Parts: sequence; structure tokens; C-alpha cells
Amino acid sequence: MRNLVRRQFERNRAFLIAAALVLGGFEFLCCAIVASVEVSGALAQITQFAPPVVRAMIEQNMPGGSPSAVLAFAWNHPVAHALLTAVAITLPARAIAGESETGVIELLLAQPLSRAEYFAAHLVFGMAALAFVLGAGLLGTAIGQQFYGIEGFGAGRLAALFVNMFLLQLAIFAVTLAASAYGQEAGRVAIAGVLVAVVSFLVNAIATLWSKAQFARAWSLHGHYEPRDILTQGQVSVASLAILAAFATIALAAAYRRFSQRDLP
Amino acid sequence: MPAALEVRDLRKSFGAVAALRGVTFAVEPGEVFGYLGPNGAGKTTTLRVILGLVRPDAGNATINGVECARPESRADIGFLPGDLRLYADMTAAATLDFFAAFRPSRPPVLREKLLEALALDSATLERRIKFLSHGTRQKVGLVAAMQHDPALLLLDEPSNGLDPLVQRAFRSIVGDFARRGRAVLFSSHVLSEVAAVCGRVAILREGAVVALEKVEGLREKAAELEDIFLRYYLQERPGA
Repeated sequence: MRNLVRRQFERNRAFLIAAALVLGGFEFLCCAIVASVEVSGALAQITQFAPPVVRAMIEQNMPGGSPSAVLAFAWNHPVAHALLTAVAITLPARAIAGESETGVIELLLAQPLSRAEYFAAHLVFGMAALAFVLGAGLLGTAIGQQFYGIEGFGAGRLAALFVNMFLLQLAIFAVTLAASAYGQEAGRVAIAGVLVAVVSFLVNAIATLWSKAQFARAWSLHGHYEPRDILTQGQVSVASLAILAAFATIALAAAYRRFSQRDLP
Repeated sequence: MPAALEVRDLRKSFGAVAALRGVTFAVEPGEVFGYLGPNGAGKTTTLRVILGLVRPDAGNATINGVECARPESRADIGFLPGDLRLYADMTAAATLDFFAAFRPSRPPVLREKLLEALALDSATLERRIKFLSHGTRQKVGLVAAMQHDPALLLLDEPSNGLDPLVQRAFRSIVGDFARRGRAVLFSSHVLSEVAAVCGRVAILREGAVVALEKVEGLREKAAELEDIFLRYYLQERPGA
């Protein structure tokens, strides 16, 4: 199993380092913007002339326009989601469907390696990769706050955000891995993963902006990700964490069940 | 002492297509066993069942007495797939190390000898797989399959892409394997190749074994093995 994890590291090293640097740089840049612009005044001007949808979005995501609210929004920004979701989709899509497509899985599983070990190797590496990129992003926020003299969130709130975002991305990873266990082509599996992530993100965005659609938020994975509550108020929804963890566990169990029973390649 | 490989009444269908219809044979230690059949006869499916990649609908297979579904059955085997795929971004040397690492208790004792016999030099080993020719990749696959001196060697169309000189060296290596008590399952559709290295042959047609004999026995039936093969292939339908 160690052999496979090492191989995954060698194969994905450049991609993961690039994703970590971009996410860390993005969060650091957000601190620079908050420190150099009078954000609340700028937001007040924007909301004055903005269309209702944009106004609602700003008021929902950055209430009061305080530095901590803006930095919390930076953790709900599509850039942050896209970078982490790219990792959460690429790795599982390659893990089973990708290796079946290239044919390498035939020779790999002809070694004295159980399917459980193969599955575990990809799961362990995927979780470590998500933690690495997410950790780099949080480091960007912490260093940026320190560097620009912005009041820090503190280790407890950053740790809570880490857990919440990690579980959200793990849920996307798990559902993509389940698709990978059923699939034969990495490209199609990746498209399925992207669809799940985008639909979930959009449902949450619409439910946040439109009161009549608010009920749908609970049905979106992203609806259980609450960076604003965690970073600005220190509130962690245990129920949201439990829902994401349960979803990820069920999807991983489905992925393993299918993988352990299917014919390969 | 159990057979190196024992296959009993294997059956497998993919939808409406019956790929294997009750395949039974055994390979003993010290034997090179030919598994002969036209494309689509079920040779690769049999190998995949033996490797635990495909689950049979009925029947079973054991390697040295261990059920093939269990990963430990693959501890002392070597395998070369018919359509060999390796990690394109790895060097040949890294590829050999990668596969050797799956068996920490079985060091690659034959690697140097095989590299020499198959004319793989150190410069070639440092090149990435994607820059190697088909034949050179096949040589790397052969070394990866045999470097740990396995008790059972499963070869699916092993001489694909090898030039005649290397083919001769390869046949000599396989013969040497058998003389040291190793078992070899040699799957191929090339009659001359099977006749040159194998002691016994099973002829597979549409998922069923239609002949299981010593090569000499087949030769007694006709001067040319091709005649025998075509007779089984064209006339004797499974279950007829």
C-alpha cells in the first residue's frame, strides 16, 4: 500500500503544489485587499447602485463589510471552491476509472495486493492531498492577517473551518470515487463529479439569495459549509459536520462495495 | 503436493456472451503449459479469473492450493498481460523497482540476468516508458514479471513485439524456468511459438477446452500442428 501512496505522490506532486500555492496566494491576496481598501465604504457604494441580486449576495456574505466578514467570504469564493474541488475530483476520477482506462490496473491488481488495500491507498492519499491544499490556504489567511496587521481569527476558528471545508470536499471526493468505481473513463467520471459540485454550489447560492428557495439549502452539500458563522462568530454547526461526514461515509461505502465486486479492467 | 495452477469448471458470461464454458486444466511444477486459441476464445478471461480480476459465475481456480480470489495467491506469481500498460511517466528502472516493491520478501534475484538476456542496457533503463518502443516495453514487462523468480508465471502473448533474436533468448529463459521446477502458463495464438516451448497444450475455442494433450501427441495426429489446430477450430464446436 505504501508503494501505491508513494506512486500517487510522485504522480500528483506538481498539481498539488500548484493548487496549494494558488490557494494560499489567493487567501493572502484577500488579506492584502482588506488591509489596503476601506472595504465597508466600498461595499456601501457598490450596494447602493448594484442590482438586487448582487446587493443580496453582498449583504448575505459580507454583512457590515468588516474585514473578518470579507475574509470569511474569501473562503466561500468560487476560486477557493474550484481549487479544492479540482483536487477532490481529479484524484478519485483517476483512481479507478482512470487506471482502468489506461489498463495499468490489470497489472497492479495482479500483484499480491487486495482491492481493499488499493482502495485504502487512494483514499488515504486523497485525504492527505485535500488536507495539504486546504492547510496551505489557511496558512495564507493566517500569514496574511499577521503580515497586514489584521485581527486574526485564531487557531480554534481556523481549525473549525478546516474541518468543515475538509468534510465538504471529502463528500465531493467520495461521490466522485463512487462514480469512478462504476466507470471506465476518467473524463466522464470527472464530468459527473463537476456536475455534482456545481449543482450543489448553485443550489446553495440560489437558496441563500432567494427566500422562497431557502428550503433547498439543506439538500445542498455546500449548504452545510458555513465559513461566515465559523470565522466571524465562532459558531460551528455540529449537525452540518455530521451530515457531511455521513454523506461522505455512505458514498465511500458505496464506492468500495462496487469496486470490490466489479470485474476489471 | 498441489498443482501450481488448477482451474476447475470455470464459467463466465458477459451479458449474453458466454466467455468461458466449463474450462478445466492444471499446470504442474516444472511444466510449460500452452494455452492456445484464436482471438476471443477466452484465454485472457481465464487469466483474469486466475488473477482475481474477473469473478467467475461458477467454478474456481487455485494457485499452489490457494483460492485465486485471495491476494496471497499472487505472492509467488509473475504476470505479463497481453496488452501491457505501464506508467508512461516512469523510467524503466523505476518501473522494475515499483513492481518489485509489492513483494518485499521476494527480492528481484533474476533481474540482472534477465536484463542481460533481453539486451536491456542501463541507458534504456533510465528512459521513461513513454519513450520506449513497443518491443522494449514488452521486455521491461517480462523482466517485471520474472525478476523475483516466481513459482508460477502467467504469460499472455508474451512475444508480442519481440524481434526473432530476443524471442529465442526469451524461449530459453522460459525453458530454464521450467527446468528449475517453475510452472509456466503460456497463452498464445501463435502455434509455432507454443510448440517450441510447451510440453502440454490446451486448445480453447469459444470458451471451452476442445483439446488437452502433449505436444508430441498432437504431432502424431498430423504432421503440421496447424492442421490439428484448424481441425479443432473449424470443426469441433464446444458441446458438439
